Amino acid sequence: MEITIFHYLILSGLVFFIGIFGIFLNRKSIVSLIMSVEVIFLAININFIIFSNYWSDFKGQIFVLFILTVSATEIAIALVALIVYFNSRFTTVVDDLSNLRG
Amino acid sequence: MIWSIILLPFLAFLAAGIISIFSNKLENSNSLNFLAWLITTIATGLSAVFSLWFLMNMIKMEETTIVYELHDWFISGNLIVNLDFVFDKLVIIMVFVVAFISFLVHFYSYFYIAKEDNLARFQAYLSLFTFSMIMLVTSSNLIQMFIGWELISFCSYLLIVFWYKAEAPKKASAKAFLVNRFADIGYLLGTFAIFALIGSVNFADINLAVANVAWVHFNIFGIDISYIDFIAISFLLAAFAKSSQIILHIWLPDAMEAPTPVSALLHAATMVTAGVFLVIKLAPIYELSGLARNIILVFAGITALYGALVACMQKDIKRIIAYSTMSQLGYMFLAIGVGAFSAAFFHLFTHAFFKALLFLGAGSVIHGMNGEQNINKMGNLWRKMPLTYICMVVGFLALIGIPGFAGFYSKEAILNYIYKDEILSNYVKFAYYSAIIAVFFTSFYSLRLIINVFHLKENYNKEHIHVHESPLGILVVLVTLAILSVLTGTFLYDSFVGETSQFLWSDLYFTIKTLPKDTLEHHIEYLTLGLVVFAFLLTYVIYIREKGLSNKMKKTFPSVYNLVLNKFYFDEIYEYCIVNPSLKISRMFGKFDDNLYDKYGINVLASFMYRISRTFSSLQTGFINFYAVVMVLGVFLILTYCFFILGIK
Repeated sequence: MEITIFHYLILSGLVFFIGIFGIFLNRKSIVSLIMSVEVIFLAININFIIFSNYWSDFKGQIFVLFILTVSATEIAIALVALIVYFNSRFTTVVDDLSNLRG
Repeated sequence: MIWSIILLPFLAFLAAGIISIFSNKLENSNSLNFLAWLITTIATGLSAVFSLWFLMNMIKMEETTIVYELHDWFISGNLIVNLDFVFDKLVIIMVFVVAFISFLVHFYSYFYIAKEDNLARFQAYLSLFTFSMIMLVTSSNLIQMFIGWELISFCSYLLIVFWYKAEAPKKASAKAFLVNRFADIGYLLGTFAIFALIGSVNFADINLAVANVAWVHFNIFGIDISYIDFIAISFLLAAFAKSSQIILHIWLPDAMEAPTPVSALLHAATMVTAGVFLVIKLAPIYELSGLARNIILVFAGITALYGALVACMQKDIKRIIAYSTMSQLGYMFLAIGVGAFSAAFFHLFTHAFFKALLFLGAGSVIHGMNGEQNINKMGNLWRKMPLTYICMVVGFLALIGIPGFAGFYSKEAILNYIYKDEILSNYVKFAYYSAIIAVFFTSFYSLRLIINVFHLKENYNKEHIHVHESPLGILVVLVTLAILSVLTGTFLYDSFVGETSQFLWSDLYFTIKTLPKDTLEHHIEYLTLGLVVFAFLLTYVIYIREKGLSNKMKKTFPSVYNLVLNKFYFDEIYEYCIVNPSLKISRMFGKFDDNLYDKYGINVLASFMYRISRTFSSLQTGFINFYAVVMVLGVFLILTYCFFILGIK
C-alpha cells in the first residue's frame, strides 16, 4: 500500500486530537498539560513537513525549525512559571488552579 | 493705584490663606499668625490710604465718574457684561469707609482672637470680606455686583462659623446664609426685569434710561404691574435681607455668635450697608416708584422701632448693639423712603464709625471680662477700664444723637427730610413718628447698657474674673474711632447734606435736596432732646433709684414684657410657619425617595443586573481545560461556519 498524503494527514490529525484530549481530560498535572501542548505543536509540524514535501517547497521545513525553537522557549517559560507557582502554592494539580472562578 | 485699592485685600487674603494652611500643621504658629496679621493689616491699611488719596485727587481735579475697564466678561445676545470698575465720589467714599473700618478691625483682631485659634485663617476671611465688599461697591453693572453680593454672604457665613466647634455658630451661620440666599431671588428678579425693560444691566445705562420707560407695564396672570414698581420691590427684597429690615432681619442678631471684630466689620462697613448702598445706587428707580417708597417707609419705620424696643430687653451686650444696628438701618431706609438718599448715605457714613466703635468697645469689655457677655453679670467696670468706658460713652452719645456728636447731624438730617417731605401721606407721618419714638428707646437701651456694664455694683465673681483694661492696641483703635465719631458729623455735614453737598452728589442721578444747617427745624431737635432726657430719667429711675420698679412692671404687664423679651416671637413664628413645614415636606419627599423611587426603580434594576451577572459569571469556571475546550470548540464552529455556510475554501 502506497502511503499518500492522506495517511500523513490522518496521522497529524490523530496526534492533534491526542494533544487536545490531553488538555481536556487531564485534571491532575500541569506538566502533562504542557506536554499536551507540545504534542499539538508536533501535529502542526507534521502538517508543515507533509505539505512542504507535497508542494516540493523547502520553506515549510525551515519553518518547522522555527516553530520548534519557539515552542522550546515557550516551554521553558511555562516551566519557570510553574516553578514559581509551585513555590507559592505547593501544588501543581490542575483542579486546584481555579482562582479566577467567577 | 486704583487696582491696588481693589486687589490688595485680595492678595492679602491669598497670602494669609496660604499661611493659615501651614500654621494649622505647626505646633507653635505664633510667628506665622503674626506674619499673616501684619500682611493683611498693611494691605487693607494701604487700600484705605489709597482710596482716601484718590478721593482727595478727585475733589481737587473736580472729576466726576471714572471708569476703569478691565475686560469684557461675556456677551450673550443683547446682554453685554463687562468687568469694569466705576469710581464716583459715592463709591470712593464707601470704599474708604470699608477699607478703613476693615483696617482697624484687622489691627484689632490680633489682640482679641485667642492665641490657640487660627488667627491667620481669621485674617484671611476678613480680607476676603473686605475685598468682596470693595468689589460690590465698585462694580459697574448688576451682574458684576452680584459677585460681590454673593461673596459677602459667603464670607459672613465663614466668619460667623469661625468658632466651628460650638453648636450655636453653626446654626447662626446657616441661618444668615439661607436668609440671604432666599432674598437673592429678589436681586435676580430685579436684574432680569431691568434687562427686559432697558436692555442693559449697567448702572449708568439704567440710571439714564429709566425715566423714559417709567410708564411701561406688563401683564402677568391678568394683573397689570408697573415695571418700575416690580424692579424696585424686587431689589428691596434683596436689600432688606442684607440690611436686615424687619421680616428678613432674623439672621442679624444670631450673627453675634461670630467673634466680636467680625460683628464690628459686619455691622459697620461690609455686610449690612450693602443693601442701603444698592438702593442708593439704583436711586432713580426709587425716585420713580412711589409704591416702593411707601413700602420702605412702613418697613423701615417698624424696623427702627422694633430694633430699638427689643434692644431695651436684651441681656447680651452684643445683641443689644446688634438690634441697635437694625434700628439705625431703619433710619437709613426711612431717609431713602422720602427720597433723601444723601442723608441715608450720611447716616451710613457716621454710623459706620460709631457702630464699629461700639462693637469694638463691647469686644474690649468682653475681653476684659474673660468672655462674659451678659450685662447683668458685669457692673462697676468704669474704674477697671476707664478708657474703654469713655470710648463706649462717646459711641453711645453719637448713637443717641447728642448735639456735637456724629449721630446727631445725620439723624437730625433724616428727621428733617422726613418732616419736610412734600407728600404728607400717612406713610410719611408714620415714618416720622416711629423715627421720633425710636429715639426714645435708643437712649433708653444705651443708658441701660452703660449703667449695667460700667456702673451699679459688681455682679461677677471677683475670684474668678480679674477684670483688666485691654491692651494698648485695642485702646488705640477705640480712641481713633471715638475721635472720628465726634468729628465726622460736625465737619462733614455740609459736604454730605448741607450747602456744599451739590458737589458731592453731582455725578449721581437723583435729585439733590440740600439741607443747609440754618434751615434745620429747631423744634425737632428740642423734641428729640426732650425724649432723650426723659429716657435718661426713666433709666435712672428704673435701674438706680427704684430697683423694684422693673419687677413691678414685669408683673403688671406680663404679656408685653414677654412679647418684647422674646423679640415678638419672630423666631418662633418662623420655626412654626417655615422651618417645620419645610422639614415635613422634605421628610415626605425623603419617604417617597426611599419607598417608591429606590424600592421599585433603582433597586429592581440593580437586582436584575445582579442576577444576570451571576448567571454569566458561572461561565468563568477557573479551569484551564474548560477554557481550552471552549476555545477549540469555538474555533471548530467558526471554521465549520466558514466552510459550509459561507463556502470559503
